[in-house]
Amino acid sequence: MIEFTNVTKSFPGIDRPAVDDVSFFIEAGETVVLLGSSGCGKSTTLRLINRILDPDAGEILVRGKPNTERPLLQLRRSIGYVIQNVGLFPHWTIEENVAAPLRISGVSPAERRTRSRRLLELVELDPEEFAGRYPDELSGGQQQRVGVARALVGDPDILLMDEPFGALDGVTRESLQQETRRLNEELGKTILLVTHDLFEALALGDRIGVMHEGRLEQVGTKSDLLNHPATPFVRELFGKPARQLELYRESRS
Amino acid sequence: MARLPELRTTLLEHLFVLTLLPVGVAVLIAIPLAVSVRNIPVLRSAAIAITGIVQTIPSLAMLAFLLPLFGIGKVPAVIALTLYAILPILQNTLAGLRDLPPDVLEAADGMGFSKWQRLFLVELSFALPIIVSGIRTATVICVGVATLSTFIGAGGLGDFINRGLSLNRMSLLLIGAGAAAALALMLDFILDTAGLALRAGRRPRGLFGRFAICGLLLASVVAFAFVPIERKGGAIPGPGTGGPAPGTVRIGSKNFTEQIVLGELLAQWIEAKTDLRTERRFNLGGTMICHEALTAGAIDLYVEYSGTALLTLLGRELDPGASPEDVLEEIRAAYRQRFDLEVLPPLGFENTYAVTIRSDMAKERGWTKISDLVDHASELRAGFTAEFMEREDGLRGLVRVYGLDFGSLGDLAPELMYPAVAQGSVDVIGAFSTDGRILEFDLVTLEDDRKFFPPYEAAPVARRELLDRHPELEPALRELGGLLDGDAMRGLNHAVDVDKRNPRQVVRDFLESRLDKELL
Repeated sequence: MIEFTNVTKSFPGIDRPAVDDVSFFIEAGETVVLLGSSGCGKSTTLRLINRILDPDAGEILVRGKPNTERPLLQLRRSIGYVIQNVGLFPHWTIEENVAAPLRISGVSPAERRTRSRRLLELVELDPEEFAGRYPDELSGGQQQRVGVARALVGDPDILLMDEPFGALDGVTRESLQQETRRLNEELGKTILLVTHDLFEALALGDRIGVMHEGRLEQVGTKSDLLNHPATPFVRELFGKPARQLELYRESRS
Repeated sequence: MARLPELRTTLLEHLFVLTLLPVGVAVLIAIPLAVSVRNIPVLRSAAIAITGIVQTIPSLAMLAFLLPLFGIGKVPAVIALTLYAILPILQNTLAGLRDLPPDVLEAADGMGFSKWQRLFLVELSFALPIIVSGIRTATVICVGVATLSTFIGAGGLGDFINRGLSLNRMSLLLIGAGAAAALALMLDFILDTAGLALRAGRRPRGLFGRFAICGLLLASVVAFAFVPIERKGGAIPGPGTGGPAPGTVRIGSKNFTEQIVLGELLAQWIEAKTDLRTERRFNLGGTMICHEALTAGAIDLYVEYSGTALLTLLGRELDPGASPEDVLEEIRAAYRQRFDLEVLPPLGFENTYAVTIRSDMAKERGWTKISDLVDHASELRAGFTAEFMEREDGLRGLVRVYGLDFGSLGDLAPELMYPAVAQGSVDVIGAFSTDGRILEFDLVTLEDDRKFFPPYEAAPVARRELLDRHPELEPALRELGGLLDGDAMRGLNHAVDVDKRNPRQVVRDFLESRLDKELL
């Protein structure tokens, strides 16, 4: 569904490339999590897909075709996009916010209304209560639910999520993570999610890609990474908290 | 109320031409400008700095700068007002656009908003309430500054204020200032309401009440604009605007009583002696503006004083040995050569600066000439007009030639100078020798015993081109030579300033008595 081949991206004034010769792929319906500390290049990698940024070298295929081949706006409208601070339009109601992707594609107001209300229900916000409110009247968790609804309203087959739960408190984060997993089981989207939270990666990713200083150290399933770390960095990352991880998994199952 | 038709004209002019038009043009300039520089910090700062500098130019200076380019009338006034209106709109638009969090823009881009969709649906619609509040500021500024554009003959409520000041009529002043203040409050309220209504989120309480009041205000403006009012004569013409009709002579005047009387005199004389029509563009804001208006062809004719023409307009020095005739010849030649203007025969009186004191003080001390003051100057408090303070033929020269060193000096507005000396707030003023208030307040002028002041013979100045186009005009104007002596001029000024009579009527009575004498 998405495939990176030797992709490199540098920013002016910084010596080390933000993304350094990265290659990986995501199968249709699969959830891949890019894991790494801040500045490792994981968000940059994600933004290269919907061309918020363009690479210096390498190629990115989306649905089998280079992502530069489709008109930019069409490409973006075919991909759901969720960011850490949500980015709801402060002067639009919740319903208008959810319907925003439909509005720019010329969907009729009546259909916008039906679909955005359905999506609010899907993310467990009662449309009766929330549709007419404004973003600043909602809690952080509720706002991010709206953000997810907005990303899904156009029924894209690909969803990009950039630290979607990073700004939320632990309890809210956990419930939203569970819900994302539930949603994904229902909807079967192809998802690339970026996080610095090891537990989140383990909870949501079918496969996890570990990034460090612009390089993709290893991509694999949880057991690949735990049992066959390809680099010292991965071993370090997954080795230390191994005991905690076991406890964590026990507590979840 | 006799002033109502005039108030209606000037109020509507003030609202539509001098406020809404410049604000509208400023919106069309400032918002696209803000949008195009919003993401380029260097241009952004430059745009704010440049419009900020424009904002600091004093209004009258701005009008004076525009004079050589656009002459007088509504065009330069609208341009100046537009320049003043740009800054608040630009600043607020930029501030409103910057208030939008970057995540919101990233979300919009990521969703596939096109550049224009993002601009209109997200950025501008978010900034709208703040932009409206900038428009509100600009509007209130325009209503205020527009009262000054009367000085270049652009009309509006400033006509009332200017005439009130120059003719010493408090009622006119209050009508003009009151109407301008009411207009400012009304527009402020309407735009404030618009800003509140556009704000996202819960509607503030009382908004419907505000809408109702706005509706009433607008309805009353419409009613005031269209309800017929019976027009009565007797209004003092303000500086009219618009292009000249063929066969029309446009007569200008400065903004004090004598000049308005002289403008009336020229107008009625031309109407009586020729078939030409006249247009009165009186009350222009001072010597420079009248002169620029004449050379730019915005007016055809006004009365200038020979000494002012020589020293202020031509920038020459007075030859101490020169007679009044010599001075007149000198300016006549220079005006022909430099400006293609004709200086016509003088009217027969001089309006010179006159060092003036209370008559009881003059008697008590036995002072009759300026030199008598020299030894006592340090005990005296002097009050002069701002123009007199600066002019070479004013205070500076007076101090140099006589060695006067006054104990205290203050700027006084011309209309305040006479009561101030009469009441003893000051001891010495620089009066105008033909002012009716010299007699009224029991003042005496001191003799210029060292012949410091140049002659100030009043003479009409006309555009050569006009005189050539209408050959009957020059002989008619020449007949005016010597018609008015100093006492006659003082009498006319007195009738307007002190007796509060209408200048048009005063001049009509004067000319009728003259023509009767001619017939006898």
